[in-house]
Amino acid sequence: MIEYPADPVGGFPSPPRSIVDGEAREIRLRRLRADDRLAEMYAEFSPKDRAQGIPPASKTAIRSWLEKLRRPECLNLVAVHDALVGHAVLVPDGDGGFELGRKPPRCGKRSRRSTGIDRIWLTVEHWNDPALALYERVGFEPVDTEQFELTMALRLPDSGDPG
Amino acid sequence: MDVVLGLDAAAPDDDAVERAIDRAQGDEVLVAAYGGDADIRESAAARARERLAEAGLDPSTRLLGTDPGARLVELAETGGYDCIVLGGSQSPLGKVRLDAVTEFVVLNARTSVTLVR
Repeated sequence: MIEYPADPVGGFPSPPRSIVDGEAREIRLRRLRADDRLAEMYAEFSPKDRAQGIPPASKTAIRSWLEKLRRPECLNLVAVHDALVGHAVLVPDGDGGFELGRKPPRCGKRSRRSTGIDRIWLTVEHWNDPALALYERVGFEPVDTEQFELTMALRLPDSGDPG
Repeated sequence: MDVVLGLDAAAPDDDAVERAIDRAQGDEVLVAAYGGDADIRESAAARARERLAEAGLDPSTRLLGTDPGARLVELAETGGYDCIVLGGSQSPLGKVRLDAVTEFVVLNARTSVTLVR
């Protein structure tokens, strides 16, 4: 059970539709489409970009993992430059909240406010400073520091245009 | 090899039971159930025993109360077991979760530890 912060974050940054990365490549951000080849993207992942057991190490395991993430109740966002280069997802936790995940860690996306989603949490390794800095910047607060991984959570504002 | 199967009774992991069967290769298996209450531990252990018996093994059983991590490590050492097999759990997103028991066993066991993800 996640202990969310009592107060919603003051504002949530609106995600851009496109960004320019450090190598001057334009990267578009959009909803995942049925024909997007996510499994191929993950199959080429470097082991150093794996964290907390995802993406799984074998192609078969990647496929069954993605089947779960592509259910209609999950919210999937991808970053595209020619091919897919990044992926972020919100997965319902069965408890009214959503767990956030994003890959690769460098991927410059932000999670998007979507109707009906007001509580988001995630886990991150204690030593993953770049990820921690990003999550803190958008308003995630540590809610469970006792475990092997750090759990962070935020509550989104009730209404109005975010950010 | 002789295997201690650490079974989280509150979230029993069938894959861990199968892995214990693979590891044991017909040798000894000790089912050590922890978590939940005594009834839950007993029924999780009984279910695992049933599957192990189907695979031709004759497992013994321990039900662990407090400090299950320490008890698992101790059982493996004093009983001369070669390996501890533990089931894993995953977040909704599919991230591997290491609970306190798993973390204790991985960090403190003298035997090898198989964590089934």
